Amino acid sequence: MTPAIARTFYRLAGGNTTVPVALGLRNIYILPTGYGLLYLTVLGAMLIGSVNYNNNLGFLLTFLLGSLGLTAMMHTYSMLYGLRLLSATAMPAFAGQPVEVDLRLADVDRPRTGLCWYFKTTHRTRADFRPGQPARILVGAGAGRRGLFDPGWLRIACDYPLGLFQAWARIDTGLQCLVYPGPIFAPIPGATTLSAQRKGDIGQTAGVEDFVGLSAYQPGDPPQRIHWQAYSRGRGLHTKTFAGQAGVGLMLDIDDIKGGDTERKLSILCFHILQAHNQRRSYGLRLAGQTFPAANGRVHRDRCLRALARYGND
Amino acid sequence: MQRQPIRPLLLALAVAMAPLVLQLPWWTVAWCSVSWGYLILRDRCGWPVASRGVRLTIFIVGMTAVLMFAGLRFDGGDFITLLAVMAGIKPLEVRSRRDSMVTVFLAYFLTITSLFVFENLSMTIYLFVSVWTTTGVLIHVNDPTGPLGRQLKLSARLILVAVPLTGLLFLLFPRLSGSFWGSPWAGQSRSGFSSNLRIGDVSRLVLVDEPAFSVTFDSPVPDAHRRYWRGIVFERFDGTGWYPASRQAARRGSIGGTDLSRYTVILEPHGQRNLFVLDLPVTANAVATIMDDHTLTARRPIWQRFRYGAASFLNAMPHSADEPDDANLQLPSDRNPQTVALARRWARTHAGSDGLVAAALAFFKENGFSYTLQPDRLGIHAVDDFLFVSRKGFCEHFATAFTVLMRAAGVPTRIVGGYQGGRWNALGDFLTVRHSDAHVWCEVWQTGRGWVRVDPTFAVAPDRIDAGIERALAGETLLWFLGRSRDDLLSGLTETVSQTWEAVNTRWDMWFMGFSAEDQIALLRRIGIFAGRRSGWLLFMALPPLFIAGMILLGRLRKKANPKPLEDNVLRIYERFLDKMASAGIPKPLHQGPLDYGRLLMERHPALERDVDAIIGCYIDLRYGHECDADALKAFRLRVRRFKPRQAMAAGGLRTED
Repeated sequence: MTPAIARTFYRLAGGNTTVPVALGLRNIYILPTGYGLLYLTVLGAMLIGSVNYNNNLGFLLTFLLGSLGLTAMMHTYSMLYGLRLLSATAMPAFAGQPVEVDLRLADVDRPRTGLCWYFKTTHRTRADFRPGQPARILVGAGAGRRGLFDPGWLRIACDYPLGLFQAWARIDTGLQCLVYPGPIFAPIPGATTLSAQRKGDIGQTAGVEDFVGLSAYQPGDPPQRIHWQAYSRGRGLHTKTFAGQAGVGLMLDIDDIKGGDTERKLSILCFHILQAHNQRRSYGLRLAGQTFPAANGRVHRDRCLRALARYGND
Repeated sequence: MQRQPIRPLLLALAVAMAPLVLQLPWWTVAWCSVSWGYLILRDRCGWPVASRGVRLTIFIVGMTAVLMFAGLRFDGGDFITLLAVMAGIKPLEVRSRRDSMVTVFLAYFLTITSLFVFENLSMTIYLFVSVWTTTGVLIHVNDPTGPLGRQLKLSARLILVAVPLTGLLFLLFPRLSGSFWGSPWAGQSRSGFSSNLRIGDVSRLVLVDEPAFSVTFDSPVPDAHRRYWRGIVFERFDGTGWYPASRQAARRGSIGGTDLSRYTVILEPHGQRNLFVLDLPVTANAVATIMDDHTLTARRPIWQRFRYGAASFLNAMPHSADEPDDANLQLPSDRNPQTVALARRWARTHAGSDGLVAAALAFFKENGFSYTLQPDRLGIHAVDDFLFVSRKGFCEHFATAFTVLMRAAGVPTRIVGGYQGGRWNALGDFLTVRHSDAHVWCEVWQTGRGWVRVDPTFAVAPDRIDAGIERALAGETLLWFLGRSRDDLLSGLTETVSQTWEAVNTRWDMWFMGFSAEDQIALLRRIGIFAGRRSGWLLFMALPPLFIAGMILLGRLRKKANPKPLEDNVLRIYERFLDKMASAGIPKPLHQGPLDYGRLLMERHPALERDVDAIIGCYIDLRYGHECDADALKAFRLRVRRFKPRQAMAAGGLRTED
């Protein structure tokens, strides 16, 4: 029932809700919060008391607090009023990790305090904006499953300053975020090394002797390879790389992975893509129906990951 | 869970509770101090919140204490105690935002209770201080990371904006006329005349250095010796005390007279029903009744400052033809034999009530009676002792003795209690009557004339009536009793200050505290918007929406008053152009600049070429060119406004088909 009412209401209210958007009379809504209702109850009690004892000071306080509530309502409303959202972009994320949406605002003309940004999640990103500061904000949209992720409506809410009223706006970012499969480490026994020098289990550290250096940690790197000493010194996560891994091309084929469902296979492929990318090896990807010839570089990696994300969804 | 701002919450509670400190029982103050002290320590040292069991125990202990203190009667004072105890307990369990909010609301509630206890100018000012602090803390609760100082500033700004609406709501909220319920908040005993008068009561009352009421006059101010403020009439006498007539009825008919005086009285609460009016009242406020003994009685005891208007004849002729009943001749049978004997002797030698009155007054004058606040102790035959032994007394002694003499001689007589005189405050144009002006006098029945006022004190101490009690008691200095010294430069200064303060206070009381339904109607009539009580509600309900509309309008005006720089306008108009194009189906890709976009448009839709070229050209000139003048901007705006891409595209499309 309530969602139906809400839908009808939003439709009747009209107003632009797609990015880019300027918040104004038709797309900001405001209602008293629970505290607002409690405040109203307290005021009601005060008014009854004042009428009962015909106490003019009581009247004065009651009306002062009432007017204060109204003023606070206007203030809450003005926190959102005139806010202009220019664009929303989503960073691709791995499954199980929060998708983050990057929102860009037009110049903030006056201080706006206590704005809460959130999608369907319970976590709210609270931000204050002051004029002259870069107006952009990263909002978590919750973790999605592999594939296309719809973050849903973006909500901007504010109950500053008194917490008695909540003003909010509901915005459709129109975003379809890509969620890559979460990397899972597992060997691909049949992975064909293109140069045919080496078949192997990349994860097995025993056969790898020549340490070449450290590379930045990539999700899915096996924990044994993480350079914990560096991490303990506060230098961030790094992964040890070894000679013999780089420069060898390989062909990753989904059909080489035996056992497990498609999602798991995709996750394993994802790990190997990241691994190979980090080690600057060239690699190719073969999914049912499409093949990416061996290459390397970011563009190639992203193309492969996108294919993984879209696999089975097209 | 976020850490709650304990110390600001305590600040709000303390500010709200401060005026009540003297009203509260000492243990509540100690309770709060201990609890708050502990909380400050806890906050500083980071101790954890007490466990549920401990909090429950504290709660039970607190409530038990309140119940034991209050007993079965649970009045307003106990309610304040309860609130104070809760103010001590509540912060102990503050852990979430919800608790903090409830605590802030508790502070608001404490503020209103203190308003019910004190009604004066200082409290009005303090009210704003309290609301300001509490609101600042409320903002802090909602934004705990912000600096409290800036939040207090915001709170002040919100209040400033809210004040005009507050004033209008206050003036226009439809009042109920004449409702004055007994206030349950009045914890302390009030001084004033009670419903009976024991000998010695008045001399105690005059030691209370507090105002009883203040009066403004619409007519010339009567002279001091004519200002007899009638409050209560005593008829029954039991030898030591006087009591009013057991049965009282409203006065029938009107009275005649000359020297009409119109005035408005603001009475301090005294817990009684009797009001004070000049001798003798003609008309009075609708909320009070004039009784047949010419006293004014309210329907309920006055527990709050109360304002009423009245008119009196200073020189009244109360055409009362009815012979008074025997109650006015009643005397306790076995008391004061000497007095009774003296009166009977006079009754034989003097003819008529005039002669008897003259004889009694002459007796007072000639036998060395003195007017003093320190009379001797009187025995069981109090009047005998006074008349024949001590001969020192206060007004009540003289009035009692006089009444007993007259009654014993067969002349119906009664005692009137009230105030006499009052001090004129030239600064505020009003008269202050203090408890030290308390007085009792007598009324004697004279056939054909009715009740005639006789003031036996006047026979002994005429100064008391003409110049006030301080002059009359100069020998023993009432001021000394009141704890002041007389001839002191400093006291002169404090006198001026206190007079000024009193003037401001009373004026404030008159037009703010006393603002009533009648004043409201008068005000609305004067503005010319009064149209019955029903429409009052309409007007009141219309205020908040009007306020909101006004605020929006003001915001718009302000925006218009300082327009944005022209560059901003250029951008805005350009955006309007982009919106139009987007709705026509060709949104500008984010990466494209204006020139590229214009080229794209012209390629795709040659029909738009002229307009797009002009608009993009204008835009680039205005935004990136050196000059940016208003005329060019105007032309740009006009061009964009007239630009209708969809129609042009449709027309262009048709043309290509031809």
